[in-house]
Amino acid sequence: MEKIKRVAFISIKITTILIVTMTILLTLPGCWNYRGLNELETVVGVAVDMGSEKNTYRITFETVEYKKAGGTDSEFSPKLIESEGTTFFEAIRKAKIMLGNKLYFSHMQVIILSEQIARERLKEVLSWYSHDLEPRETIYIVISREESAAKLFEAKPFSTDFVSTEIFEIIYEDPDVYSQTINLPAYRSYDVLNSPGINLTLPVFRLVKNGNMVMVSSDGSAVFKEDKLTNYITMEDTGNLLFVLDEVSGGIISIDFNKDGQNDTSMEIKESKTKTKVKYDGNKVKVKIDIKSDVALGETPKNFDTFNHKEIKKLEEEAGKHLSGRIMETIKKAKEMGCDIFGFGNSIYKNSPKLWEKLKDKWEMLFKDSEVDITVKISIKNSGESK
Amino acid sequence: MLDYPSKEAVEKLRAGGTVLTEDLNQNISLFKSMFKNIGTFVVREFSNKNDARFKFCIFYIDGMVNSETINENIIKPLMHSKIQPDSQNLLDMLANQIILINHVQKSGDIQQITESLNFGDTILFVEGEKDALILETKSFTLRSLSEPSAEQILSGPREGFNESLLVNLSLLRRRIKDKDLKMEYHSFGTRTHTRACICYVEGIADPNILEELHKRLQNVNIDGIIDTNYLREIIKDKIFTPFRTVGVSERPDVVAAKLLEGRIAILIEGSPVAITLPYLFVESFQSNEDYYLNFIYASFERFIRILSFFLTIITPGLYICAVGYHHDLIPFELFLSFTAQRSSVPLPASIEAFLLLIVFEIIKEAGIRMPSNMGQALSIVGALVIGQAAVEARLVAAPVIIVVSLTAITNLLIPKLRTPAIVFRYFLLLISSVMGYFGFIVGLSLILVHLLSLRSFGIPYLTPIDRFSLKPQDFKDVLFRVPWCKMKQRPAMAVDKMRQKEQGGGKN
Amino acid sequence: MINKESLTTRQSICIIVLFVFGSSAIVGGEYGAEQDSWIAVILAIVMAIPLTLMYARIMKLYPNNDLFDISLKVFGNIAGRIIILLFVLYFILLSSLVLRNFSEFIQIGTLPETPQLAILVLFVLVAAYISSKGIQVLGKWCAVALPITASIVGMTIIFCMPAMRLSYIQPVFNTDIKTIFVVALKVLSFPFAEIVLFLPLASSVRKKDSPYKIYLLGLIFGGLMILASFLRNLLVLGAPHLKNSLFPSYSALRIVRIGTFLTRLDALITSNFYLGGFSKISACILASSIGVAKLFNVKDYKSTIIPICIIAVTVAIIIYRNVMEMFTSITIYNYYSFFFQLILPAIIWVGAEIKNRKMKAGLNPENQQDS
Repeated sequence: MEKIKRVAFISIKITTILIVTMTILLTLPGCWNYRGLNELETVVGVAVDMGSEKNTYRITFETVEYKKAGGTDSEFSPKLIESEGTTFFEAIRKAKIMLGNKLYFSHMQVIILSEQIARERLKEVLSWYSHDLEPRETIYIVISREESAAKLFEAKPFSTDFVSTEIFEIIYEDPDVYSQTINLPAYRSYDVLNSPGINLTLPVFRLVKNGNMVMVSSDGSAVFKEDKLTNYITMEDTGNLLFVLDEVSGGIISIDFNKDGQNDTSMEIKESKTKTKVKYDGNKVKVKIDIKSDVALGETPKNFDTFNHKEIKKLEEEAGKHLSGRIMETIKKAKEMGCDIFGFGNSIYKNSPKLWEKLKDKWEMLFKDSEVDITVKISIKNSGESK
Repeated sequence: MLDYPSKEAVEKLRAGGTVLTEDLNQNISLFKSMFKNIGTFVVREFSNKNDARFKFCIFYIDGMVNSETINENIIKPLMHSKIQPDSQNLLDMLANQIILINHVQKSGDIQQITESLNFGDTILFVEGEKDALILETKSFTLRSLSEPSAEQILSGPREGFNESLLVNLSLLRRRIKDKDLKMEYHSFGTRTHTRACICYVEGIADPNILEELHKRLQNVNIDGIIDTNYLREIIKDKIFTPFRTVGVSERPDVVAAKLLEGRIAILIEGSPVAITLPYLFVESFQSNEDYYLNFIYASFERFIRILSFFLTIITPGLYICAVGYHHDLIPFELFLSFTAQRSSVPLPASIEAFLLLIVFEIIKEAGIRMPSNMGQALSIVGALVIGQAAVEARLVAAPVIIVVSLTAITNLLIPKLRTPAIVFRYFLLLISSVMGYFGFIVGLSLILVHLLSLRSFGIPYLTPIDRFSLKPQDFKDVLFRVPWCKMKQRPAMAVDKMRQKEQGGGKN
Repeated sequence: MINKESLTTRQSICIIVLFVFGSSAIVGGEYGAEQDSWIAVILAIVMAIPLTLMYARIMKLYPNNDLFDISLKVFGNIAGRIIILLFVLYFILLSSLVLRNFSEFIQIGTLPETPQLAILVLFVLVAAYISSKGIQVLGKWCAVALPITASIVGMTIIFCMPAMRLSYIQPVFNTDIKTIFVVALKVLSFPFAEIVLFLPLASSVRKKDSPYKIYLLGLIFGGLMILASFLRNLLVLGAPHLKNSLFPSYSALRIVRIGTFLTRLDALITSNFYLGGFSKISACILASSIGVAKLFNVKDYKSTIIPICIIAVTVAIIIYRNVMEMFTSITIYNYYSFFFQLILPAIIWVGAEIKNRKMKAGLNPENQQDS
């Protein structure tokens, strides 16, 4: 009985010591990684430009400003911070000397690059992005067509609170709506950059005047050779590119049915599927592209009888011809640039890598000389007439 | 309070050579000296009308006996009837033919006699006899049967145990009219000599557990058992845990149901609380109401209860993880509004959550203790003013209030798990504040391992969940309550034998 | 009490599966064969089967005995103890390796400023707690953790399906057989052949359970889980990303977006990692403690747990300088672990078979006794 009492007493003593030790350990040095929400400077978007001196970056961060704190309604507005540094990370850390809180990147939505950066320094940007675990893989990398990347931040965000969120939403939703913007999250850009036989294309944005407001707008794409920006293509070309890449899930086709010089028919794309077959017959590359789209009629020409099957068929054929013509044009442009933005080479690599080994050194030449055959089949599923 | 003659006094009396003799007067003076300072001790001497040689003396303790019984059934027949001694022993003849009492016992043991006296029996001494007769005349006022306030249900029986052991046992006996319902009497407490009863259904209950229980009961070495909780703490498994390993209930229907599942119940004189053992984790989520209501509704309620337990433990910790460490787990818009609300608050989120939880506990405790006429005012003060004003004054952020309220409300859904809920909630809160989500998972794992290693009387605490078997028989009663026609077997956990319920449910 | 430490078949299988899957949740990425690594994984599973049959056979020859008892019985006191010592060293090393793996991941991914010591201590705390409660609690823990882990893997695969691109698996069979074979060997030694670690725990397996079933089912199921998560990562991220990413499962899940709300699901993967990690480290520490106890003739292995934990933490801190070293040293690990995973058990197996034949022939009066 006495022994039990003694053992119990000792064990209570030990427990108390442990508890006290742990309390001291936990409270005095503090919680190492704890960052309250009010200690964060949330970065929503980043714009990278060349710095004023040689070989420096000037980075502009769009962060969140809380106008009314606490309680029922709070408003958010963007505020901009600029910082310069010889490396990316240095510029980021240097921003702290002007800020009370440390920058926080987990909610970053976009990275905007100026043309110059895209021409020379894409790899460095991606290097920072891939080493830091805070930015997520789903951000978009965007090229600014204005004189600097930071200029895009001067726009007024229309439906969201920040320009970066605006850009993000534009790119994210576009495939279902207008389908003329490249929707390529950063992790897929990384994959495209490092895959053989395909050239990277990134969306381009610029400022537009809308009434008396300045807004951001998507404006085609930028084409890269390896990791250097070389050309730009228009929005229409981007739309055609998306068709070839089989990434269309929406959009409008407008054609001139009556051939009176004015577009009078519009069709809304409901679904579209593209099949691409790339073959090499010894000295030429032959590409066969089959596009099948289901559309709904949006507007019809004057005096058009929607219930006349022959007319519908004619319309379908006309639209198909129009689309394939457009796509051919874009392919021609790409051939002139010598950039295989469609991934024909990648297709060969994936299906017969040994063949690719032989062809890859002269691929640019082969691409320029390739024969492309496009068939477009449009099916009008819905007349869209409700009245 | 009765003043019981101490053991030493009795020993002294015995050692002093005073023992029951055949002389009535000596016995009377012996008892008078034993019960010297006890005012309620009554001595009544009388003799038989027809033959004055028969002298009797009864002792009883006023207030604990039924006077009418004494008058009509003891004094009157003894006084009035013709006593003809024959070959039988005089006491036996009195007991068999004259005294009209339902329970008579002959005894020569002073210890037993004094115990019975203190319980409310009447002692009869006869001139010329050494032994005495112990006559059953107990009568004391009891609380009427009412529904226990802590275990109220919507529909079903509303009887609850009261403080009398016999009444409670009768409640059980009426519900299980089986000859296999065994009730073993024991007595605990060196001073209180509290009578306790172990109830079980022979053939359903596991004899190993019964044996283990007997072994542990021998260790009960305390001077007084006032409530079953004393017994509970002595016989339960000696592992340091906030979980209950021995169940309690104040309702006879609950205890009867548990007996039918193979558990063993212990009741004591003086307490309406019965304890059942072994007790498993799943029982904390079961309520007798589940069986009195529609099974779909009952299953849903049970699911809500299980969910509440998890919510009440993990909500503060998870909130701290999201707000203090892993801000990228919150969607963007939510993140912005959280940050906006936190930007002017002085305290870090973990301290805030901790303080608000403590404040809530204070309010809850105050609510239990305060007189009911102050109830309304305090609830208004507590809820609205403190919560709302604190947010307006920018002392705390609004999301914390929501988190704390959710925690508190879900806490109320699981009355049987209050202690573990409190312990684990603060533990998880503390460890999440220090190490974020990793600490949170570590804390949860420690809790889980603790649960897995717990045993109640040898049965693993987490039966049948830890078997994770997909055999329906094992979890029919855990997550949901299956209708009776599907419950063919008893839960396999505490039970060994009789796995078939008599073709339950019938055809419907 | 009424309890005896014994594991059911289901619990044993769960221990093995979690053991196999636990650590590779970390690595999960490609091992050098780019997009053909899944072929290497399948090959490794196939190559592991004869190995596991050997382990199972050892168990079957001496039921209810763990690895250390068997070594003592087969090789006598002195040689047996040397073998036990070798195994114990290996197990402690394994514990430290796994500990270091996990704490690196946690430090890089989620808690950058926390010193690794704190993370290691917490890990080891859970492991020590599970070990001190015995093998049966470990079995139950794994039996609970495995359904959670497996369903998280299933859920994540379903969530990732919209983001998967089947073309990422192409070009198939691009890498040559030699590379695939080398990678398969790597995968074999880490993690598949580490199921030798179940042998010390084998004393709790009941006589009537078939060790073959336990080992084979555990290996195949664990291998399938690794294969599934690898394929998921590959199809979401693509081979180049997979190659350069430190924690591909983590990256893959950050991409998932279901509707507008279900976006940031990395907590699922981290929970998976932690659960697997706890299981694996607990098993390692338990095996080491039992070994040390048998080595020094200590009756109850519970007292050796804390010293083993301290040693494991210390070794974990000093063993690598940085993360890169950790990843590249897996190659070296292949070589020396080969000794412990293949050669030593083979020696024991051969010895056990010989002893068994002798006993059957009745030449040696040493009969098996219950331990």
